[in-house]
Amino acid sequence: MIEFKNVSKAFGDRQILKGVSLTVDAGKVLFVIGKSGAGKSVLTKHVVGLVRPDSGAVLFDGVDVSSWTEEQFYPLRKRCTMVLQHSTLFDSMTIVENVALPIRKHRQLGWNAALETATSYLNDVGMAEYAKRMPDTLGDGLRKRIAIARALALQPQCVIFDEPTTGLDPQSAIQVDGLIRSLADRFSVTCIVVSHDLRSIFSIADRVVMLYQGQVLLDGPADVFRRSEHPVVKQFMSGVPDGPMEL
Amino acid sequence: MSAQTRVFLGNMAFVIKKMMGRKKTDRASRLRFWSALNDVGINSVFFIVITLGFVGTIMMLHGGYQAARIIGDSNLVGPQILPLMIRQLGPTLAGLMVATRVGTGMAARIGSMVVTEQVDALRLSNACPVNYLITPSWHAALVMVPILSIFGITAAFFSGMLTAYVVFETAPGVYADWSFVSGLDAVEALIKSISFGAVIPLIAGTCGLSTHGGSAGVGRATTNAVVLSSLAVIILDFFIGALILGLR
Repeated sequence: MIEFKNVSKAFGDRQILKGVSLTVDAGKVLFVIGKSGAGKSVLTKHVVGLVRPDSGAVLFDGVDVSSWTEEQFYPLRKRCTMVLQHSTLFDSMTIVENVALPIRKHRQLGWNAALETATSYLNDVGMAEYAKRMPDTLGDGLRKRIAIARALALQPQCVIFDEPTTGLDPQSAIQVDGLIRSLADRFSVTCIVVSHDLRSIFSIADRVVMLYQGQVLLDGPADVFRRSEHPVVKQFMSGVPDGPMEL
Repeated sequence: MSAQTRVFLGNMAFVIKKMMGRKKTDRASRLRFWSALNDVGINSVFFIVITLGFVGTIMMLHGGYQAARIIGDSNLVGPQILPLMIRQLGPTLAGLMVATRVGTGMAARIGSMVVTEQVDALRLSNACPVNYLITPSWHAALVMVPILSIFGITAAFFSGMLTAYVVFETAPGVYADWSFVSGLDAVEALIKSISFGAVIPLIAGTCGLSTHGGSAGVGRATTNAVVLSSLAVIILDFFIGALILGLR
């Protein structure tokens, strides 16, 4: 469904990705892991056109999207959406307006019709009580859940989650993990999860890809990752500061 | 040309292209425009009236003192400063005040939305960040900067008149001698204020969208916005003024 072919990306002098090649299977949960600054978010943002590769290709359903214009990405972003790291709710809008905005823009609905759809969606996911609140009155956990609800309101085929459990309490993190797993199992939604959370990786990942120094260091099921003898992988797992991994 | 300048100019070309494209007007976009009118206009009125009011007083006070000292008559000062207020100080100071108050606010707001990925979230929602964040302020500034200039000129006129009466005992009728004011002064003021209204949101919005590097980046974007838009106001002021002087 999604394929990265030899993707390279640099910001100024800093080379983030160095020829990453990777195929993402439809309806599965793929975790992209690596130390901070390894290029996990940059890699996944290529899929929805938030970042364009310097070289290489990104294929979505076999179509090369790497040189698409912003307008060409509009329909793709309905099929494949992203929950960004900072639970990016718009500060100037109420919760229901936040959820209504992509519904209105992607489905070309009027504002009132989009608000109605968003309200019913918030009702379905048990968050209707927050509909009229402003984002700054909610905690990080709730904001993150609403950002996820906003992405799912488009009923996408693929969702990219950028550190979905970071900053959440353990119960909320387990709920988010369960939601991601059920999206793949019940609705065959392809889920790409950028995360450092080992508990999430071992509980819901179908496959793990580890990025290191701009390249794929490891690619396989969670068990392969767990049993890896590679010193960098072992250091990442153990979390100790001393080791071969460049910090 | 540095890489940063190239990126900024590229972003500005992108912003202009997006703003010139055809847009659908709906209730939401009208609401954003009204909100921007309020932000650019209503919230700036007090600031501009106070500033220009003091400028009118200062000009009359110092102009009157100098005139009394040199030619022994301060009555000529009012008719001399009126055209200057209309074509020069009113629009330019209103433009600089809008650049300071609205430009910095815009750059900080958009810049913080960039670093917290809210702009990416807008793009994912199929909402064009330029149309969403810059165009309403641009339209509002086109309308409001001329209106704010009129408010500023009026405040400067009356404060100057009061100063002339209280300090120099100049009769209001003598102060308000319009014989030196021509229609071209009003045209110049209008052209300048519309031009300032066009460039300030454009520069501030581009600075905001060009933000990178966290909160330090937001600080840099805000500083750049006020410096560049103030410079643009002064440079436009010179060129428009010189062009119209050539027509006189």
